[in-house]
Amino acid sequence: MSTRIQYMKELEKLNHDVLEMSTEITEAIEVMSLALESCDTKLSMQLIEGDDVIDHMERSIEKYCIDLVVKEAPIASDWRRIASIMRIVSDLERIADHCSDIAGYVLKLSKGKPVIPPFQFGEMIQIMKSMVTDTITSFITLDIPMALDVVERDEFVDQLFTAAMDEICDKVKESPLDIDQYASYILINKYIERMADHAVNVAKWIPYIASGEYKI
Amino acid sequence: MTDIHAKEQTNIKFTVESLNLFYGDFQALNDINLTIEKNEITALIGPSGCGKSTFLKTLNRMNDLEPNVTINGNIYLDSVDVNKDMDAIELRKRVSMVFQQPNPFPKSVYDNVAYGPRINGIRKKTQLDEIVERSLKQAAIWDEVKDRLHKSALGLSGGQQQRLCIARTLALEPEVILMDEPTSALDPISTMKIEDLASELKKNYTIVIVTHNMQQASRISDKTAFFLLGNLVEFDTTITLFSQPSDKRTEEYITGRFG
Repeated sequence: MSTRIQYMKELEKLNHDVLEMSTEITEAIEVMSLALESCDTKLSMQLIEGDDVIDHMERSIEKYCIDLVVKEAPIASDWRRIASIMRIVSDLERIADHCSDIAGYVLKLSKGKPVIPPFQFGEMIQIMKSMVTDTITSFITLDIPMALDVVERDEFVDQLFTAAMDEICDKVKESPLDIDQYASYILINKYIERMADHAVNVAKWIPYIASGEYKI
Repeated sequence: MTDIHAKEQTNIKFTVESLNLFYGDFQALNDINLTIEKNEITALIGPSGCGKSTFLKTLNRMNDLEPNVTINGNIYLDSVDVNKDMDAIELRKRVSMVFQQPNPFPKSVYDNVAYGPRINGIRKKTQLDEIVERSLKQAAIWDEVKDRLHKSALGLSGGQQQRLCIARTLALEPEVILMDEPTSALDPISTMKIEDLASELKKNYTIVIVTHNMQQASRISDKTAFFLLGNLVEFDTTITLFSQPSDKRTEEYITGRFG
């Protein structure tokens, strides 16, 4: 006989809320990518203003988790999921923060002389985006190989990050007067690399949720 | 060195092998195999009618008192078969039981605790005084009753009565204490006192506890056994059973998917 019907509904709502937040974040990455590519101030403003919504989602999910722990004393797979979600939403929120941070630098770049960004950015964003979407998919499907693949893909982002830094340094040497513009690209480069790191942090929780395996 | 000596040196208190128990035609326990270690708390959990209390009773042969019970398989206490090579009275001195409802005798606090030692021939007052005080202290109730030792035990609260019953058990210096839902009739404060007491007592005793309270099992026990329909579904360290149960039925039961 099935029991704890209300509790089951609450767990479903928690999953639903995480998915809703994930959807907002993948959309934010998409908008950030377009804003950076076309140095679009309108899209950048939209991202900065939308960040509060994602912050609120994070706080609301955390509170929901705390309430569930207090009320229902979850154990086994329920506990693993709730404890992991409390950590995961913090990383997801940081990804959204970095979209907003990048949007801030796009606004700054739009006010100065147009300077071509490092060519690695396109591929970096593409890989980082796939890491975020796959980590969310693996959270839903508890697909451990997919989560581990996300962890491995971070290596490519790190390599592109280093190559982009070298490229930016070379450009600064060629055109020292554009240092302000390139400084913004240095920070954007770091934010993209950090977003991939946050996707890895989320992916590392998936084996724990699925099987209880926790690596120190 | 003989096999018996080799077994005595291990930490195993009970070894249960292929245990089956029938009430008439109804099989209540089905091929149970497990070991209970010394100085540990082993919790038995499972839905009503799963066989956990029946199993608990087999450990000191309380089922002997039930009609139409058939038992086969082996239960070894320190490598001696309790059903074949041990007198039931001797067994129950070594393996005592605390029940769901506190059941003090309608006598004074002192006489409740001194009852067992007196039956065993201890008459000397100083010796009885010493046993009563030590047992009540071990049961963490001495401070509450030391000024009313000669008043009726029935005037104590439920939680105090249960600790008195534990003191009455300790007076006989058993090796194993079986507890059958010892806190289900108690309020949360009394429950915590019994749980603290169990954790303290395991230093000197081996404890097996039947509980319907998952949190209680996870709080105080070292190992947990999950019973379902007379089968031992899963037996593991408590931390593993409550965080990564290996059987889907255990997971469903402890997370409240069925009950």
